[in-house]
Amino acid sequence: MSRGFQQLESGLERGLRELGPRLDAPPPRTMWVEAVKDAVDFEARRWRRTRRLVRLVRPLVGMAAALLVLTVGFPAPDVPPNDMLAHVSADPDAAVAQWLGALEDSGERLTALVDQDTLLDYTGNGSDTGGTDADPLRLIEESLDHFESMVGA
Amino acid sequence: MDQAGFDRLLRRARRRDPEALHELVDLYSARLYGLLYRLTSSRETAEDLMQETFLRLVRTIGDYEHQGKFESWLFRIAANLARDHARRRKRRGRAATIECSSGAKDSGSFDLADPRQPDPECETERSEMEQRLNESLQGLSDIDREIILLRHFSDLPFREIADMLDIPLGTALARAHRAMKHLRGALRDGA
Repeated sequence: MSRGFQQLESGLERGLRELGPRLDAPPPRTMWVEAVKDAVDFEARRWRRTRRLVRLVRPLVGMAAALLVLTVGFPAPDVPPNDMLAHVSADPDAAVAQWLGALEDSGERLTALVDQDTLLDYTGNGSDTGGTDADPLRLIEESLDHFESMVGA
Repeated sequence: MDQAGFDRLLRRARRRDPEALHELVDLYSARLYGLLYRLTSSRETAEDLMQETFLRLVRTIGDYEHQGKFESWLFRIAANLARDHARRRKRRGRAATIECSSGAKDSGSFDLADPRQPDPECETERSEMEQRLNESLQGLSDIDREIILLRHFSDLPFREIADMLDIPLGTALARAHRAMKHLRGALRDGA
């Protein structure tokens, strides 16, 4: 930093120290800070729940896809019949990998949709005070518990 | 809190640990609120924007890569929210004035149970000096006001504020100098 900048900066710091007490603002109300903490808790719970859902569903989608491939096989014609399939590899392994990639991608999109929907619910109707508005999330939580016990996760 | 302790706190916050998030609210709420209050001149708007800042922190802290610039990251979120709010306000043609808590809510705020009640401090806020300070702050350009208030309420040096606002350091210093002169003049004339 040049000497001119340093001088300007130290002059500004001095000026701000003098002006400081006038710029100070009243503190936020304690009740409001507590309300912010409640909102933060709600948001954190929502984040953890979404993450848990993704962790549960992702391997199951993969397993289901693999099972389907094993059961019915995967059609991999030597020559793609039309332009729409031109990008599909003729190599069955590569095609399966491509398909699984697409499944994973759709899983992520689904997660994003779930995420958005929950967010809308929160901002649109929500209360984070544990009242009836929190019930949909509690139901999701319970269904996840049930699902976990079914799959033995 | 030392740097190692703060790093641990951020790691816990990235896992959305509620206690760590509460600790961040305790650490930053007063200064963020101060910044937002002075930027918006409204207690209620500042409270709403402070809440939104912390909600965005929870949503996006996973994307934050810790390089010792957490404060810069957090204050940037708050300043951006205040800027968006001012833009919406201007579009609606409403001038910023000191507002006291009267239970009225801005549209677009969260539907939390609203703990805001008429505030006995309101009269103090309306004091002449406060009004003058508010008017002189509103008389500054948005960027000049942000530079001065960010420097006052955050621990960020001018260099980081300049980076945050994407302007050269010299410009930030010159703008701060001009803003300071304006504020001093306005407060002295009214004294």
